[in-house]
Amino acid sequence: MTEHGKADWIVSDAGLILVGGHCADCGRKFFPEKPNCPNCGSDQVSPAQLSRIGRLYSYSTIHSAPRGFHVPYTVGFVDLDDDVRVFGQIEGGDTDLVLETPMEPVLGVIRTDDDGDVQSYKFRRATHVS
Amino acid sequence: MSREAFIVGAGMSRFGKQSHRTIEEIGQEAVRAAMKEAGVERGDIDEVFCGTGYGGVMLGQRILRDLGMTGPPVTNVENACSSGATGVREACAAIATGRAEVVLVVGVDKLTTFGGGTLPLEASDPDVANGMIMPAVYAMRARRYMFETGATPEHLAMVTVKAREAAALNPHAQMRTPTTVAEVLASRPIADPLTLFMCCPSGDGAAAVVITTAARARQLGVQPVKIAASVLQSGYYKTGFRDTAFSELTARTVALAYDAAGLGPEAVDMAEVHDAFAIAELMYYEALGLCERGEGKDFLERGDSKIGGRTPVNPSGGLLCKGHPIGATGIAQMCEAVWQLRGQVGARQVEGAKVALTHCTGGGIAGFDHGACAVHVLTV
Repeated sequence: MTEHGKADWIVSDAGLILVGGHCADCGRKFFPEKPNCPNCGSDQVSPAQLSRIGRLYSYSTIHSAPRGFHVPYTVGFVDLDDDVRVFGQIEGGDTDLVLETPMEPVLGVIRTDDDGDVQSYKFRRATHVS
Repeated sequence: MSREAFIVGAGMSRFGKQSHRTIEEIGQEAVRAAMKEAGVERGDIDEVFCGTGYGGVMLGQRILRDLGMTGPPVTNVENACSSGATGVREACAAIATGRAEVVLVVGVDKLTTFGGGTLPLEASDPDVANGMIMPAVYAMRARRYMFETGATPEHLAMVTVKAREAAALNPHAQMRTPTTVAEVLASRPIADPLTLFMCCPSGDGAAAVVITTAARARQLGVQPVKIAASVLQSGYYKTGFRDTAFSELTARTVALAYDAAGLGPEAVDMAEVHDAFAIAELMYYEALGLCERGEGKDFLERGDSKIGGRTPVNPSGGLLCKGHPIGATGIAQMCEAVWQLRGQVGARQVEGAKVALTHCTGGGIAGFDHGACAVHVLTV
């Protein structure tokens, strides 16, 4: 098992937390982290844990995919509460989703390459909605 | 010095699967056709632009090599699906500054090289690493658009049915067999809610135009088509919320084009728009100002975008049915516009067309609406 973008998350007691960037100049958060803030260009960027609460903006179940991905699989945009949009796969081939449903990040297998399964962040319907 | 630019010749290769031909041969077919229509000889060409997405380095030189046209400045242009249109913008600049009198622009791609399936995207892109494909970019737009407007998969299918009706009248088109809403919905799923027939086909093709000054156009004795606006913009990268049910990039680009041409959407007699997937056409009716936001499905249902309707959209069959060899697309749209404005397309003629708009976007990049958007306004 290999991991894609391993620096992009941490596993906590509350579950998977995505780690992006926070800009000290404009205050915006973004994902993934980059050396410069994509919003204002500042280099005053530090790692930041992102909200575990998000909403499903849109999704699609893919039936024709590049090598390594196992069709059908579902992908979507999740808008986290700190105004960060994250694209990712949706766990378990969930195909009966409703837009604006609360979602949360979770670890899972996203594809298989020559070294075996690749693990990364995915999303699922939120289990605890506060 | 600033001079207006005119298209005096347009040419297309066959569009479709042509794995037996080289990309250079396909490009040369379009170049010869455009030069013949313009009535220019190889020695007349002062400068050349070549747009391609996947054709590789020095494609312009490779095309010209076998036509005895080497020597003049050649610039190869890559802007994904806007590559060809971006080349036309550069040609307009070459005319405007006075550095060239006659400019050739060719756009070409040979997508059968990839053996079918969806277009390869940048492996380093974070969304691509997580399984993004181009149809899914549009599929998620479609899902959101339907959620917000009440449009249905039947509306998406109707776009394809309309495109096939038009393509049946276009000998250059790749997909010319008429279809039905039921058949489109029943074709195999690609990225839900998009089915195969709601996606443009993979194919090979080239298109070319010859662009010159007003004075030279008069000497050539062909009917010139004025490039009244040539505008290019790039997408904004957004880290947070981005409204994918409305194309900000297209709306921004077309506003600049309308301003440059001194007209508005009500003056447009026909449009060739970037319907790479059926949802795109509904969204672009709105972003181009042909109807109000959220009313794309009504514009379609009323037949306003059909040949004979209020503002015919994609009378060529569009990318969905004419085909979409990406580097050629922006120029192929202009070929259709030129021939429509000259009144020479026969059964698919938009009667009395004097103002045509061509619109293409380009590139699926994480965090962008699109990478590029080019809009041209052509008039006679």
